[in-house]
Amino acid sequence: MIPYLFTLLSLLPAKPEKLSYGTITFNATMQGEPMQLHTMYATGHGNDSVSLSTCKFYIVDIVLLDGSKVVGEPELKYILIDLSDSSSLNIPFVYKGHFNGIRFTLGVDSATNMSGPKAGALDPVNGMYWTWQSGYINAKIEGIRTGCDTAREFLYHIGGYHAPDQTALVTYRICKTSEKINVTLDMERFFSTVTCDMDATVQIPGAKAHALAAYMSASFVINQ
Amino acid sequence: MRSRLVVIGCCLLLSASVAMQTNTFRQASYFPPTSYNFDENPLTDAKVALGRILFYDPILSADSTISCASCHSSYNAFSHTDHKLSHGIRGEIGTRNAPALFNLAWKESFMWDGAIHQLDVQALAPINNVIEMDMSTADLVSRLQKSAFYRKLFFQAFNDSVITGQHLLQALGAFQVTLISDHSKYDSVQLGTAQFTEQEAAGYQLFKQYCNSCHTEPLFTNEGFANNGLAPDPQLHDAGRYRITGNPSDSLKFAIPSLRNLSYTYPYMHDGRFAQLRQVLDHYTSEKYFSATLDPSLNHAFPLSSNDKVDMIAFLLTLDDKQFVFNKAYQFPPELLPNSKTR
Repeated sequence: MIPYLFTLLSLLPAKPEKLSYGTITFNATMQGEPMQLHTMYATGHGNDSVSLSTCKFYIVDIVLLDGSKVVGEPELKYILIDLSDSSSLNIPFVYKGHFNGIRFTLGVDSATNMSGPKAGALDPVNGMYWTWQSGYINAKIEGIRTGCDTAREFLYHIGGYHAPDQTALVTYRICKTSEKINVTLDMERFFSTVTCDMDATVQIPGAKAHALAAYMSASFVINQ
Repeated sequence: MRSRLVVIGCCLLLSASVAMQTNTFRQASYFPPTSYNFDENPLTDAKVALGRILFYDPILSADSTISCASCHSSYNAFSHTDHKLSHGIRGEIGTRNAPALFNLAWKESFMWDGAIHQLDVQALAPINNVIEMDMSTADLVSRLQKSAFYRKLFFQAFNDSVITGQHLLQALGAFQVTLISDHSKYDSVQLGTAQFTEQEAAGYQLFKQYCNSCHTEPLFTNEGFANNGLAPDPQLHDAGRYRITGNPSDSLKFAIPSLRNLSYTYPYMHDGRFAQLRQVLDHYTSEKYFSATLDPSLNHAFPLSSNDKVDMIAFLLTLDDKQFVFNKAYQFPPELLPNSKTR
């Protein structure tokens, strides 16, 4: 009987690893201060200051990594972050064990761009799909800037999925295991790379959009 | 009492005829494989019927004056006859000739410059364009959501009365994909049920020699883009596909249109500059506007005699598809009539 029980127990599956739950919170900051829309913030460069009127972007395929192993992710693949909608900023996720990194893509993959209309965050009703041509606007950053002589208003609609100017760029950051992860779009860093001698308006795919996507992708900071 | 019975009888007849009008997709045996992804948007009668109603309803424009059919009339093979450049909202004039709509399931790109790569999302362009319908997608969806008529139709089509941008576009795409033109005399010849006249046959030989490489049978387009040597309009400054790709080698290139239904779709070319087929043929037998991107096949004028042109036109007219143009299932839907009981 005892050997029989032992055999039976050995056939039972190993105890499943406990699932843990957490929240990723997105925000934008200027010199460490959380940014509200329609509010002027000094960039720290001379008399330059910036006010955002729109800050919306797609975050796709978020994963939490233990080395190269995926150990956590949110429920949704496509997430639209919109600074004007506080409910869009908190992303619940589940994970197992520990993680030491976070990876996500700023923007929508080319296969999704190439196919038909989508639901949810990707629904064109969200105003993040170009209409004069096919394709998602991966990020909209709009507002006014005081430090440039050339233009007061800036308008960046960053998109395009054809090589070599694709704008859906993968971002990886070191990240400690925690139930709370703050992903900050550091606008001080962004506007130190997007200087006044660059175009204040970029609304089409191309090399300029690709460069803006790279600057934006490099401006994400993990605060824990 | 009798008049009431007559009215009821008429209503029954009307509803029976409505029920008989179904739009379905079909694939002629000699047509190539389709490009449209039917798995992504499976066709159902309810979805196609909703798409047809949306296509004809000016509710899609900001001031409810312009529908898709305003510039894409069924009687003109869904083009805008007599207008070089199409009229949009508030009398605004666009920059291009509204293209005919048929055999869209085989198309790989849309618009004269190929800006759109998928049929369902195409409708966003005219809906959002400030001189066409000037309507934001979000505002349109909320406008439709307020209508009990549309909530019911969307529920029937998508099993969901919460209207979304995705469902709006899929319904419009579903209707348009059923617009199939494959009943011309040319098609009957392909199926062995008709024969070309001697003149048409002579025109067909010339067509194959000079035109078929771009206007390839049986769809009469190779889905490509070409600069056919038209001098750019000095007012429109339209560089065509270059605007989309930013590639200088695409300058002055435009989508190669199908040659089906030419009798119904004049004027011709992206800017509607030619009112008659004869003018089109005269263009190809004349010196072209030379630029670096001129299609190499057009470096020399086609050596067509006046008789050759007559023969060619005789052949081109065999591509007219009356059955398509007068198909009731594609026309104004009875549900939108002011006295419709369904509205």
